[in-house]
Amino acid sequence: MSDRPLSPSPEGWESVTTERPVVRWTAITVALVFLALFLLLPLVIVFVEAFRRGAQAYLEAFQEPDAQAAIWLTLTVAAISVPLNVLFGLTASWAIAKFDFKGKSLLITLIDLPFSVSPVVAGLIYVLLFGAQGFFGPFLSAAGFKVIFALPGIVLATVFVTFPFVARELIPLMQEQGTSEEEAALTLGASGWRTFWTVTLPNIRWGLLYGVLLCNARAMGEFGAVSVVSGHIRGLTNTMPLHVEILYNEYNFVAAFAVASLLAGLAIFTLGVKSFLEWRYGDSLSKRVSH
Amino acid sequence: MSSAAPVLSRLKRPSVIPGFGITFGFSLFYLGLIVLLPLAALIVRASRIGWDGFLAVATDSRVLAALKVSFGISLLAALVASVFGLLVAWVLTRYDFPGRRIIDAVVDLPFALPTAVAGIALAALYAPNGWIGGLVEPFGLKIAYTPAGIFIALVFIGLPFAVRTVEPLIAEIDREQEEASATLGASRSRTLWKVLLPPLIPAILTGFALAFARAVGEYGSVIFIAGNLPYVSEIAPLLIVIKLSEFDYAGAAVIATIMLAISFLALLVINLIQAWSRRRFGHV
Amino acid sequence: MEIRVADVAKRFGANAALEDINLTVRPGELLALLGPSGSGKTTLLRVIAGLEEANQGHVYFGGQDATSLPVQKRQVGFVFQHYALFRHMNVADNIAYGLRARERARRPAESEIRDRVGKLLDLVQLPGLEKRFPAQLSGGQRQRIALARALAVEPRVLLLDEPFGALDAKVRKDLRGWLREIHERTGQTTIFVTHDQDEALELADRVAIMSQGRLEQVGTIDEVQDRPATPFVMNFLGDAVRFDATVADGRILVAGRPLGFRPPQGLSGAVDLYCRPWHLHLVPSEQEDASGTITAIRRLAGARRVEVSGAAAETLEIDVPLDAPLQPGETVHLGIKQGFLFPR
Repeated sequence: MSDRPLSPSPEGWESVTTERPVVRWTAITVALVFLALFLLLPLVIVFVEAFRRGAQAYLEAFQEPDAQAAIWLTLTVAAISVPLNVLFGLTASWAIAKFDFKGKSLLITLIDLPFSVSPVVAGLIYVLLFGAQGFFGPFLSAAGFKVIFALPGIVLATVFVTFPFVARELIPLMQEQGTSEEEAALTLGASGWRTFWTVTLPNIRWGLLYGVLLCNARAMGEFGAVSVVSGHIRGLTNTMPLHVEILYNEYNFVAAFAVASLLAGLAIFTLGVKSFLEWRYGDSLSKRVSH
Repeated sequence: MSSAAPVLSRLKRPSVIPGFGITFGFSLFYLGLIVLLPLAALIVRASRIGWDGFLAVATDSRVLAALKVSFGISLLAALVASVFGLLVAWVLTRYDFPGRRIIDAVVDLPFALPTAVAGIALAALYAPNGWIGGLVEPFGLKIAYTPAGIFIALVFIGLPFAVRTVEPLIAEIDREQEEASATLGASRSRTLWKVLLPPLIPAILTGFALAFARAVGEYGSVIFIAGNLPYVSEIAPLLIVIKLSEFDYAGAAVIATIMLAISFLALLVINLIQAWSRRRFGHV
Repeated sequence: MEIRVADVAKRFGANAALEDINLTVRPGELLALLGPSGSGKTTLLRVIAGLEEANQGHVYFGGQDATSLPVQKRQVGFVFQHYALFRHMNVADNIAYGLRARERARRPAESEIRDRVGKLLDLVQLPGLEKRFPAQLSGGQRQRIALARALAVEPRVLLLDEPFGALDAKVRKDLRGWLREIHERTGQTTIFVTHDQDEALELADRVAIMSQGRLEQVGTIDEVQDRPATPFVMNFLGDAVRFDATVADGRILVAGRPLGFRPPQGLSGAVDLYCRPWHLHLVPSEQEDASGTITAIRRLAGARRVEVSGAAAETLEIDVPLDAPLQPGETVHLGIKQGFLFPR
C-alpha cells in the first residue's frame, strides 16, 4: 500500500540510493572501456581482418571446395545434434518439472555435468570408447564402421558439449509454471499428448527457442571436442571452426577470418535474437542464469 | 511399462499427469549413453595403468608445468573476471546510459562466439603487430604467445559467468536497505561495503568458481594466443591433445581425470556456497 | 523535538505529490499521517527524513533548518514498511549499525555498544536475541528489531512507514498497544504513516489527514471526528451521506424545507450537507426533512439496515429497530438531527 514514488529524484539532489555522479561516470567509463577492450574489439577485428584484402578476396574464401565442405559438414552436424538435444530437453524437463521423484536433484546435477567438462576431455572420452585402441574400437573396425575421424564421432562430441542447453532452459521454466494447467486440460478430457501440444508447448515456446538458439550456436562453433575426434581431414571431417584453424595455421589469414566472420555473424544473430526474446518475452523465459 | 510400474510408483509421488515412464526412461537412457558411459570409460582407462602409473604421469615435469599454467592462470583470470564482472553488472543494472541494452547483450558474446574465432581474433589483436599488441610493444611488453596471452583469453571466456551470476542479485537489491543504512547515518561508501556487498559475496564466489572451471578446461580460444611453449605457456588441455596424437591414451586419460576431478571440486564448492548462503540468508 | 514542515511542495515529473504542506509536530507527540494510498503521506514522511528532497519549502528540526541537511546527518529513526533489516547481519549488528557508522570521535566504545544493544532488546521485549539472523525471526519480531535499530541512534524524531502493513491482523493488534507503550516510555517524537483509520485513531495523539498531496486536517481524534474540516475527512473517517442544501436567513433548507438546527456563521447559498447514519432517524411524514424509497432491507445482529434511494444525493443506509414495520418499495420519511455543512 505504499505510495512511494518510483521515479528518480529531480536533478541537483543526491539520491541516497546511488553514487555521486563522478563515481557513477567513472564506473561507467571503466566498465565500458574494459568491455570494449575485451569483448567488442575481438568481434570487430574479425571483420576487419576478413575484409583486409577487399570483398573479392573475402568471397574467394568461400569458393574453395574445402570451405564449402566445412560449411556443409557444420550444418549437417548441427542438424543432427540439435534435434537430438531438443528431444532430450523436452523429455527430461517433462519428467523433472511435472513429477516428484527421488533423486531429482541428482539428475539435474548430472544433466549439468557436460558444462564442467573440458571440451578436449569431451572429445577424448569418445576416442577412448570408439578409437582404434578404444573399448569398442576393434569391434567397430571389424564391422567396418568408423566413428572416430568420421561424422558419427563429430556428432557425438557435439551432442555431448551441447547436451545441457535445452534442458537447462526448460527445466526451471516448467518448474515455475507448475502442473495446474496440464491438470486442467486433463480434467477437460484432453489426452496426455494433446495436453503437451496445446498447453505445455505454447507456454514454453520462447524458452524452447532460446535454448535451441544457444544449443545451435554452440553446436556450430564447437572447436575443442570436435578437434579431438575429427582427425582434421580436409574436405571430409573439418567443420568450420576446424577449417578456420587450418587456414590460420597456414597463414592464410584473410580466408581464416572470412570463414570466422560467418561464425561471428551467427554469434551476433544469436545474441540479437536472444536479447530480443529477453526484451519482448522476458516474462516467459526462466529467470535462471543460462550459459 | 507394466513391469516398470511398481518400481516407478515407489520412486515417484502419484500424479494424474501421464508420460513419466517414457520421459524419465528416455532421459536416463540418453544421459547414460551420451554422458555417463563415456565418462566412466575415461575413469576405467585412467585406472587401468594403476596407481604408480597414474602418479608417474601426474608428476611428470611437463604435465605438472602444464597443470600449473592452467590452474594458476585460470585462478588469476577468474579473479580479474570476477572483479570486473561485478563492476560491469553493477553499471548495467544500476545506472542508465545510452546504449545500455546493446552493451548488456555484448556481455554474452563469449558464450556465443565460437572459441576458435575468439582465439584467432584475440591473437590478431594482441600480437606484436596487432592493435593492442602494437601499443604495448614499444614498452617491451609482449602479450600474445606468452602466459599473458592465456590470461587475456581466459578473462574473455570467464567474464559472462561473473557478470550473469551477480546481475540478478544486484537487480533484486531492496532500495529500503540502502535507505535504512543512510537514515542510520552511514555514508554511501559504508553502505556499499557493509550493506550492499556482503549479500552479493556468495554470488560473486559462484561466478568465480564457474569462470575458473570453464577457464581450466578452455582450449579453442587459448591455443592461438598462447604460443604453446612447453613448460611456459602450454595448457593442460593442449597436453591431452598432444598425448592423443602420440597415441598415449593412458597419459591423456590421466590428465583428463585430474582436470575432471578439479572441475567437480569446483562444482561441489559452488553447491556448498549456495547451500550455506541459503541457510544463512533464507535465500540465495 | 519539534518538527515543522513549512510550505513544502514536491513534484514527480508533472505529478504533484505534495502541495503546500504546513505541519507542526509537537515535542513528544505521536502523530499519524493518515490517508488513502497515493495521498502523499509516505512522500511527506520521506521528505522529513531527507530521503526525498522537496521542490520547495523547508523542514525544521527544533527550530533548526534541516532542509538541506543530507539524510545521514538528520538523525532520524526510520522504520521501513518491510523493515529493511540487513539480512547478512545478526540482530546485535543490525541494532549497532548506526552507532558503528558514526565518525570515530562520536562512536561509543564496543562495550558500550553491546550494552546499548542489550538495553534496546529489553525495551522491545526481545532480550537474548542478539545472535539471531533476520531470516530466523517472525514478522512481528523483525518489526521490533527494526524499531530498536532506529532508536539506537537516539533520533530526533522517529518515523514509521506503514509500520504494521506487512503483518497479519492478530500481530498488528498486539504491536499497536506495544508501540503506544514504548512511546509513553521513551517520549520520542514520532510520526507514523498509515492508511488504516482505526490504527491512527487508536494510536495517535493527533492525526494529519491527507488527500491528493494536500493536508486536509490536522487535529486530535475528537476534533477530526466532531469538526471535520472537509468533505474528504468526513467521508474518509466513516460512512457519510450528502444532501444538496441551501443556507438562507440563518436556516438550512433541504428540498425547500428548513432543518431543526442552525448553520455556522458565514455560510450562505448552495451548500453540501453531510450526515453520519446516526444523524438520521425515521419520523412521521409531516415532520420529514427528506423522503425516499426503500430499495433493500438487510438483517444485522441487533438492527435492520435499510437502503434508501431518492432522499439524498446518493443511496443512503440507515439502521432501524428490528420491529420497525418496513417493506422494500415503501416510502420512508427521514428527519435530519445533525450534519456538517461545507460550501459547494
